[in-house]
Amino acid sequence: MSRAAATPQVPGTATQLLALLRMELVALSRNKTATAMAVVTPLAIGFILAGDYEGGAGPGVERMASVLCLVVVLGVHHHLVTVYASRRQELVLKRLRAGVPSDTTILVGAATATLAIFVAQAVILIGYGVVVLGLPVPENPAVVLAGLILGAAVMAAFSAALSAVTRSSEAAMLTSLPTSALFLATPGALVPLGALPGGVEDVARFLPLGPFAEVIREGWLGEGAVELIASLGILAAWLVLAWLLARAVFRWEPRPS
Amino acid sequence: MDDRAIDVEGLRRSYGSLEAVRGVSLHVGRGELFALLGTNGAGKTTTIEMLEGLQPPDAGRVRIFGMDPIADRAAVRTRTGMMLQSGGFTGALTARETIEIWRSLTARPRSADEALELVDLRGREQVAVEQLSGGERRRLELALAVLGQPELLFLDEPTSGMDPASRRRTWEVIRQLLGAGATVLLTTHYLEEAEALADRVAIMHEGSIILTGTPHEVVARSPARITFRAPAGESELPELPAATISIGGGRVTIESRELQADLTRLLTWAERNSVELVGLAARPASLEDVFLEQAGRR
Repeated sequence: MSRAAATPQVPGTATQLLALLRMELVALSRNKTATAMAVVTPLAIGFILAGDYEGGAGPGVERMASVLCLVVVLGVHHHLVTVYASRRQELVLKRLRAGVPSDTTILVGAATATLAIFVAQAVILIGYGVVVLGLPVPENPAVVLAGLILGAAVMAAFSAALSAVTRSSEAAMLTSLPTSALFLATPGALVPLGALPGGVEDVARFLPLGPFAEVIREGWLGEGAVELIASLGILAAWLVLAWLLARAVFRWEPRPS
Repeated sequence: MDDRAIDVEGLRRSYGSLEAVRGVSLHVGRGELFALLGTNGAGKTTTIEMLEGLQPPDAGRVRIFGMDPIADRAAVRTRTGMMLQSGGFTGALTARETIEIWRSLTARPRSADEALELVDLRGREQVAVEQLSGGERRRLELALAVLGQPELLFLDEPTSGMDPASRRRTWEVIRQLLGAGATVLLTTHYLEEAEALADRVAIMHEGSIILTGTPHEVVARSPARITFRAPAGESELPELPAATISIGGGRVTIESRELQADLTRLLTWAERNSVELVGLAARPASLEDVFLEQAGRR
């Protein structure tokens, strides 16, 4: 905010981000198909899959963490590849760059609505788990929330990077397929813990959704302070890496035809 | 510290093997309106985008108020307004919503009412941007460009796709800003627009500026024209040493470097020989003549 203080007539970063959030939310609310895809579908899938487990709190929370991995991949990663690609094709990104917002504000701003919707979906699904499925109330909700936001931010940054090779929102179906598959193949995401051979699992659980699922489980059940910090650290490292990659390869304008 | 708003030296930019801009230098003083004229593909948009800091030059130097528009982007952007060649809207938003959102992204913004009023969109403010006509969308872009009352305005073909009424309205808005002390750089392929607005013009062709000066200076380089219907009979035309005479399609065209002297000789000759010069017209060169002449020469 120091820059805003030096030139008081320039809107602050928070004001700019809110404006971009409003732009995305209004656009989404006017597009029924997009609303169904981004808001309703992940919730519906979550409701259907969350109850499919046997045993008590442990397996139930593990299942819910796995469901949230699926939601973050579909709702955040895949969806944001389409958002970045279409905003670039519509020249909205170029138009924004012609104005006051910084590149960082524009990149984060385009993702805000999607990130907010994901957090709301996660809260609803966790609430469903507690109220309907009888799972315990999360021990450490702040940690769970931090994990949700951090993990979603990692997915968003990878979306920005991937959008560089995605010509249009339609092409996002194809380009986000391998990355989505890779993220979901992480132990603790769609692959159950212990399903992969030990050596493979030891490496694969460092993929971004490994620590993401772990933070949710551990924060929810109030377990393993050391592992928790390690998981948050790995997620943060992924965020830095994905962000640097996004900044290095991101394309602001369509390729000249 | 500097009375130049724009200072550009040796700008170059290529796309693959295509050299879009081949060494452009130009200077625009504060409060001036500078028009960059050229056909499609002349390199106008590439040039203006390098001045705006939206594209990095391969070589050369751009200074806006003494600052680099890429390195000092944050400082430059609070003082500039831009109208890109097209697009950049989220189609589902209404005109008013678009302006309201942009008010939060602009330094010292006008009120939404004032901005809509300025470009005559008050009656269409609740219409989704994708439902607006091409001309209305251009006016909305103009409203965003001037929302922050910029010191320097970049307009890339501001009136393309506009009907004559919208075009006049746009000119009025541009004149108002100039009156308030703003500097304007615009590109256009409407010569009429450059003649109506510009303090100075530059004609671009194949990536280079081939001619620059006030509209008057630029036009003065090309000959004036005298035309009339070719007289019946074999009466010989008078000797006009400084002019080129051509006859085609039943009309005589005299390209003259000394309009008054040649016209006097012509009229004296006609009087003496009792020749009626039907459809006689004499006019100085227009920017269009200059433009066609320059473009045709290369």
